[in-house]
This record gives sequence, structure tokens and C-alpha cells, in this order.
Amino acid sequence: MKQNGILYEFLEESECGFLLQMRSEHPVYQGHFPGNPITPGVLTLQMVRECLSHLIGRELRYAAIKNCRFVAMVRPGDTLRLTLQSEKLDDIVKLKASLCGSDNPDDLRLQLDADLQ
Amino acid sequence: MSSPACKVTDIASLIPQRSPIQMVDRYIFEDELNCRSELTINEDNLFLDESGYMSVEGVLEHIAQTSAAHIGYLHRLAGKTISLGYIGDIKRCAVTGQMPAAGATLCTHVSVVSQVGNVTLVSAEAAVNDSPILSCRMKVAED
Repeated sequence: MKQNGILYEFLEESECGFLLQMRSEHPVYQGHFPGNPITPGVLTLQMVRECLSHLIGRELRYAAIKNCRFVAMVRPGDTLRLTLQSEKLDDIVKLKASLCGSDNPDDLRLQLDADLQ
Repeated sequence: MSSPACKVTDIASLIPQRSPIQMVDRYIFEDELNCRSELTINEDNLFLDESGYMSVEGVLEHIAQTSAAHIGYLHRLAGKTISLGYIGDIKRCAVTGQMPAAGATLCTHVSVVSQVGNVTLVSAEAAVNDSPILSCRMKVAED
């Protein structure tokens, strides 16, 4: 997980989620987009996967994404609350996740329903 | 009536993404509703994991940029400028094969399902060496 710690940092951790801060040093912002840094949606998906892997204790990958809604943009400097609800079924981890602004649960950025393994 | 496929390698003329997250090398226009693209995966690709394999997220970005390139190509034909594009949602995404490693060429076919205003819904299938590895539906919104 070479991006971990550069794209974001953990501010708080609990069994059902994380408080995270997006960092601005990640090289992706040179290209997404030049002069207008916006976190690519797929990197927020990667962040969710890395956080779940951290909780579960092994590296996971997406096997299926039933629904992923990118509701609003994530930018470097944003402080975000990630809520994870997961259930293990054999070698699959079923996940429902949401990402929102840290101060306001209505400030939804991402909603995800996916299977990982 | 089919028109001849047109290949574009100057991807920066079709999409606003730049290195290190430019995830399409070649864009091939088939018709207004269909296109293909290719990406040869370099060793310094942003989406390679520690084992050297591309993540599912990397393939999804490749699909998103293929869709954006298609929209950008149609804009160029119409004499318009290219705009920023964002993924609105991803549905029915199934990983059906092994993710590619550095050196492999990722090939994607994108079909436009619908276009309403600035939101385009596409159906996409990514393959490596003609073997499907991932399919999904994706909405791409333009700024």
C-alpha cells in the first residue's frame, strides 16, 4: 500500500470507522488536475479498501462493486469521516461504507456497496 | 453504415488528466456510441501494488478516462473544447480475471448506453490478451 500515509493520514480510528485527513503532497495532484487539485474518485475507493484491510488485518481487493456513488468532490486538506459496516462470509468481506465531511454527516462524499476478498 | 476507426495517441488533446495519472495511451474511435482504448502498463504506474499487479481501482480509472476520451473526441469533432470529467457512479462492477502486471497492455471497450445533459452512462469491458478481466457500468459527468 505505497500510497498510504501520503494520500491521507489517520486522525482517529475505531472499530467502525476512521477520521482521515487528505494530504496535499501526493503526486497525483500534479495531474488531477494541473492547477486544480481534486482527489480522483478511484483513489477514495482505494482509501476505503486500505482502511478496511487495516481493520480486517489482511490486504483486500475489490471482487465486485454493486453500487458506488461519488456524491461530492474530495480535495486535499479535507477532513473526512469514513464509516465502515462489514461482514465476513467465507473468503468474501461484504462492505457498506460511507464517507462524509467530518463536521457534518449530511456532507456526503461517497457511498459504497461492495464485496472484497 | 460503419465509418473507419480513427486512432488518437495524443491523449492530452482529449482529456485533462496528466502524468502521473494519465491512464490511456491510445484511443480508437469506432462510432458515436463505441470506442476502444489501450494502456501499456509502465513499472511506475500509480496503481501497481507491492506485488506488481494493477489494482481494480486502476482499471476503473482506465475505463473512466476511456469514456472521457470518447466524450472529448466527440467534442473535438463538434469544434468544442474538452471539459473536466468526473465519475458519478459505478454499478454492476464484476472482476472476472486476474489484474495485469507491469508490461501488459490493458484494452477496454466502452459503449455509450445513454447521454442525458452532461451525464453519460457507459457500459465497459476491460481485457488483457483478449481475456476479460472486469466489466462495469459507469456514469461520467462533465463539468
